[in-house]
Amino acid sequence: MLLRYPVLYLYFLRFAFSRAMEFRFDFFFRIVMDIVYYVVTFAFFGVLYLHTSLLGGWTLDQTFVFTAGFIFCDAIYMTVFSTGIWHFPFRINKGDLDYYLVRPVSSIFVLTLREFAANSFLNLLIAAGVLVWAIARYPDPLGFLPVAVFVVMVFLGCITFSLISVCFLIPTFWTTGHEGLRKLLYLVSDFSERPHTIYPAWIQRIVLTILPCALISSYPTWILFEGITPARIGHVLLVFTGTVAFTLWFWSRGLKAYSSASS
Amino acid sequence: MTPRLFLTVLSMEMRLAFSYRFDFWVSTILGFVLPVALSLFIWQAIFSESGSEVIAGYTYSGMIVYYILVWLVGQFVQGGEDLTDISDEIYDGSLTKYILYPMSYFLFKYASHLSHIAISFVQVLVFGTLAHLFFGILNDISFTPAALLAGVMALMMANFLHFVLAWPLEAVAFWQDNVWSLHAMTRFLSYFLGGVFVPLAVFPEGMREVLRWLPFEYLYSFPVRVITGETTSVETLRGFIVCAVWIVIVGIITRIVWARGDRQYTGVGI
Repeated sequence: MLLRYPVLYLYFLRFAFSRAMEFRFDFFFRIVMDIVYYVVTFAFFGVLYLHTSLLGGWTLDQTFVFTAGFIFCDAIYMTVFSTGIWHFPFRINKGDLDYYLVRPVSSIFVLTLREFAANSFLNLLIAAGVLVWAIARYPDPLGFLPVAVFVVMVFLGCITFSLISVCFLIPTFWTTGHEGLRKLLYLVSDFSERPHTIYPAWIQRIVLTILPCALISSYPTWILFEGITPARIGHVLLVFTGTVAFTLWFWSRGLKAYSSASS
Repeated sequence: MTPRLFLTVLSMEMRLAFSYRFDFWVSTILGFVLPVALSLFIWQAIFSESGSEVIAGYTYSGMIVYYILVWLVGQFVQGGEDLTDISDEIYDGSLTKYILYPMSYFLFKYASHLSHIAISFVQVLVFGTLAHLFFGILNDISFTPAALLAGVMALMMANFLHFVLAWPLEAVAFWQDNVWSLHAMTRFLSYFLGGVFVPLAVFPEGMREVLRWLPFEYLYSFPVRVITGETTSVETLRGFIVCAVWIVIVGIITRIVWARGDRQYTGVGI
């Protein structure tokens, strides 16, 4: 029963790569765009550290690990989830969701994972390389286990962020427009691009629980340098499970409001 | 294009933008509060951890004023829209109808772009007033008629430069099926090198010298510095000249690319 999901996903990958090969310039542009984005993100922190030795309690080397973790997560999101999530409100508005609802598999699985962005895949490899570089250049030894836990948490953070993105767009079932929701998502997600330790305590509580943007890379980085404890790991797992449960519940509520074409 | 037609397009586009009220208010209120707050959290941490009172010529309250002004200037420059509808019109073939209209497509799009600026004017008025009431952003600015005139001119040139810069990227749509990545790339660069992410004064001096000859500074940082009276008359004049030269260069590139693309265009979309 569960085996059909990996098999189905392999078919998605095959289609995605053959489609990407048809548009080679887009393939090239995306690589250049992401490299520019990576350079700008690192340069941004590089410039800030010209004027301070610590930012939110982190040194430049620690911030580079955080930034590399964020970039890696972003590359996973762009490659695996973003295209499906981008099209998702349009499918609701046009009634294209019918096509997914009649399938004998989870509709949210197909909607979010069907459109693998093969043209971003190379960026994912580059981002993985950047992450390895940032960890390798860190002056003190970090240890295999903490790094492994960090990478797993970044993966979980990426899935959490993808689910948040879906949650932000689910209200499209009730509203006609979705641009405002999308803009709101982008604005909120900007909070994941900075160390959560720079925010006031009440914002830290929000980005670690209700809108867990900090779980993408900031909190995993914080755990990497502050130490792994059961409570910290438990917090990540609890928030992750809560986000999954909330998304599935919200999705089912949205589906009840769905009235097929042009809803 | 007659002034009357220009105004009709302008009013049409404004009505369209206001028809999606939720989108408008979300982008207005949160689009102002969140980015400015995010930048200020960073600088609050830097001022506190470095123990400095002044960084690159800015106090913390000076930073607040800078980020608010750069946001307000950004609204005038970008007008809240990304101009990607030009490539969409090339893709779906709807560019054809504009070619047949007895008016310039370029001017039509500029009228549409200006209509967004008119909406931004409302945003700037509301948030500029609020920002002054809370942070006194106008307290340190001495408005002489000459500085005001220079500020308005810097804003107009920045707006036109932003508009013109988008055209060669959009024209790539004549050959390729996707141009958003080019726009995203330009946006990252212009925000970083134009002084939106951080004031350009925090960059090393050598890099600032290079940035003075690139177009990005003239989109955001330069108008803010002119408005706040931070530039001398020589710097202001040099800024206008560099900005004008970039407008001409990009304009020539656009003309060449557009003419070649036009020959390629079949009118049936991609």
